[in-house]
Parts: sequence; C-alpha cells; structure tokens
Amino acid sequence: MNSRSLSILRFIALALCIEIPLILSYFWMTGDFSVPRFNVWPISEWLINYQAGFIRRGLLGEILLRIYGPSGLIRPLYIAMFFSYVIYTATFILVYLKSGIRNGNVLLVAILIQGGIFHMGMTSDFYTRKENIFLIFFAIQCLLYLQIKSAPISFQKYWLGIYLASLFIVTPSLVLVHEAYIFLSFPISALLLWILALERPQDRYLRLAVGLLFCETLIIFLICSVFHGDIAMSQLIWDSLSLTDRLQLSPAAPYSTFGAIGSLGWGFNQHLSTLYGVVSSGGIFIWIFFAFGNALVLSYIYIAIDPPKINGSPSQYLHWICIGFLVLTPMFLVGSDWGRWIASISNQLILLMFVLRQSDLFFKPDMNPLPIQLSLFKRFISRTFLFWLCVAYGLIFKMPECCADLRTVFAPYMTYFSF
Amino acid sequence: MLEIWGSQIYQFLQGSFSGAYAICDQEKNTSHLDFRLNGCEKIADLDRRGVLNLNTGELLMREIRMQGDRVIQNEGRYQCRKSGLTFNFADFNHE
Repeated sequence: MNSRSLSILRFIALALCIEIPLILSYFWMTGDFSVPRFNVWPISEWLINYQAGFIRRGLLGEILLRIYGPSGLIRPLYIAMFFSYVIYTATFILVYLKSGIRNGNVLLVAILIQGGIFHMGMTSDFYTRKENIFLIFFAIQCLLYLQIKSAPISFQKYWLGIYLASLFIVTPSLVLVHEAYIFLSFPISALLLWILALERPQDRYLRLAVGLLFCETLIIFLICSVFHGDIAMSQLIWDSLSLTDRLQLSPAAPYSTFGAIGSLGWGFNQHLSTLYGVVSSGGIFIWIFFAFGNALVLSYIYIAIDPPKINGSPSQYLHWICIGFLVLTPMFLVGSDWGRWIASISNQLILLMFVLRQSDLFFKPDMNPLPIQLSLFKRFISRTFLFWLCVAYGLIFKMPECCADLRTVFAPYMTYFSF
Repeated sequence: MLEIWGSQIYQFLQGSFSGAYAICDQEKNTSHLDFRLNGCEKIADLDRRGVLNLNTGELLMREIRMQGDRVIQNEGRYQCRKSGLTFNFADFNHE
C-alpha cells in the first residue's frame, strides 16, 4: 500500500473514531428513551445543590436548579453532558493541532485510548462525570500556554494575563464543583504553570503565582472539607429535587435520599471501605491490566513524538511527563473509582505530552536522566507493531469507570445492534 | 451489600439506604442483627434501621422521617447471603 493510500485510510479511521462516538452521544443524550442515559449515581452527583446550606460539590447543581427549577433537571443535564463532550473533543483536537505534532497515528491512538474520546462517546462513560469539566479546563490551559509561546512578544503579556486570570478564577470554582479537583487535576495545572515559570525566569511573579494558586485552592478545599455534609443535609437536598427527577433516579424509594446525594452523609471510614472493595472484589487485577495497557499507549505516543538528543543527553521531556504522572497518582488512595482515575490521568498526560512538544524544555538536556529510557524498549518492539497493539487494545476492550468485574471489560459492540 | 467492620455496618451498593450504621444490642441478640443510622439512639426527624435475620438471610430496611406535618415511611425487604471476606460486583448486577 502506497503512502497516499495509507494517508487516506488513516484519515477515514480518524474521522470515524471521532464522528461515530459524537453522533452516538448526540442521539443518546437528546433522544427520547425511557432509561437513564448514564449511571444514576453520577446523575445524582450533578444534582447536589445548596438548598440545605453550603456543601461540597454543590455549585453546578445549584446553578442548574436556579436555571431550570421545578421543571426537572435531568433532561437539561443530558444536553449539557453532550455539549461538554463536544467541547472536550474540540479542545483536545485543537491542542493536538497547535502542538505541531503531525502524526495521524499519534492522534488515532490518543483518541482510542481506554477512557479517551472514542470510549467516552461509545459508552456514555467518563464524559458524564465531573472530571470532564476538569479535562476541558486543562485543555484550555494548554491552548493558552501554546498561545503564549506562539504570540508575538508584545502580545505575550496579554495572553499571560488571561492564562493567570483564568487559573485564579476557575480553579476555586472547580473545587466547589468537586473537591477531588485538588488531587485529580490541580497538580498537573500547577505543574504546567511551574514549567512556564521556568521558561520565563524574567517573570519572577510566575513562581509566586504557583504558591498563591496552591494556597487559594487549599483554602477552598479545606472549606469544602469542613462543610462535607451529613445525612440530614443530604435528605434536604434530595427533597429539593422535583418528584419527576427523583422518580427517574430512584423509582422504588423516591422519598429517601439516594446515590451520590446520600453519600454526602458518609463518614471517612465508609469512604475507606470502598477502597478496600477494590482489593476484596478482585478489581485490582483488572485495573492493573488497564493501567498497563494505557501506559503502553502513552509509551507509543512518546516514542512517536521522538524527543531529540541534545549533545548526547536525552531531552528533559520524559522527566516532566513522569513528574506529571507522579503528582496525579495520590487520587488512587482517595477514591475507589480507579477506572475514572486511570482515564483522567491518561487524558491529561496526553495533553501534557502534546503541549510540552512546544516547550523550551523539549530541547534542553536532562542532566539527571531518569533510569527509564524508552529507547531501550524500542529495541525489542517495532513502532508499527506497537501501533497496531494500541489500536487493538483500544478497540477490543472497554475500561469500566468503577466496580470492575470481568463481564464489563470488553467493548459492548453488540449492544448497538439492539437499538 | 452489607459490610461489617467491628461495631459498624456499611452499605453503599444499593443507592437508597446507603450509609454507616451502628450495630445495636449485639450481645443480647444472636439470631438477628439490628443496626441503625446515626448511632443506636433514635433521632427525632429521621430513623433508619435494618434488621438482618442471621439464620434465614432476610433483611428488613425501614426508614421513618418527618417532613413538615407528614410522616414518610419507606420499607424494603431483601434476601441476603453471606459472601465472606470477598465479593464480586457481578453478584450485585452493578455496572
């Protein structure tokens, strides 16, 4: 097959992997079906509001309630979910385009990765969770970073101002959306800002901004921890929802607090017991499989981007990607939905890999290179074989969000034929 | 799913009635496990309790609360089986 045919084939594959999930998501989220469009637990989490007073996770539910009030919130929520998916897909592709990487294979495996854009739309998972808002915000930060890098010097301060303003305004809001933002996404945002501060030593205020942003985020997180809620508040929040919404979520007991709203009344020990469930249910082996699979895809992307050697030393690129990974791992000790954490970390690392392609650090030698050198890996496995392995992994399996068992690890293609 | 940890019972897989329950009268009663939300003292506005028959596995969950001048009562009956120290989410049809 000649290179032109390959390019056409790659373009068709990319178009299908983006368009089919988008179309599916549109019809699923806006169509008239009797069943809930995604798991009732995350639906109930979006509906947490301030009707029982200030409480963690209540910001977006309160906004929804103020806008749509007694007419029911679930249908507008479905439409909002679809748009959040479209926005994430658009920002992800924009980051890829602006990163200067021109490699369709990289984009294809980045979309097909478990928990990535393809699987989001095909299964209504991941993008229907609050971390999709975090992903969108990180992608926007990446775009602003790239804009600062590419703008003429006279405009750089302007874009830098927008970048900092968005960080200081949106970050605390996202902690109010879900306090786990501080573990799930804030560390990589702070890392990107730190990298920018290293690249611009003349702007000493950027280092100060990292410290201030951390303090601001920590204060809001501590406030949310104090106002974590109890069973009485969760019942009041549940009662504030319309009966039609409550019947859709919990037809058997519409007057009893339910799902994520009910979990506001949980104590610390009960949250820890869900972590124990990761081990006692055997799910940990499934998560190890998907963590390994996603690491394989990230390795392929790294190898395909192929950072240069500078005076015989490796580029700092891998060093910063590994730091990005390390700062996001504490989430595995905080919550039991390990599929969500693997997806979120993978998507954010892909964005970081795209954006650091334009970083000055990409062309700086690493004086203390990490012992992990993926070039050794390249000797044993061909790039083409690894690419097809990543594609097969992306198409055959389907990583669950949580509560893993062996029934749920394969892509459910037969389900689509039953509609 | 009921998870027993010392003098506490946790329930989260069923969306309603989730929470941490205190086991009440453990010494007196060997055939039934009686557990209550928010400790064993009855709370004025919300009383949620469960009674598990250890011989037959029958579980009764009952919640009574006041909403204004109304009394709202929910009740559910479940059939349980002991799974030991491990479980599988497939057993709960949980996806």
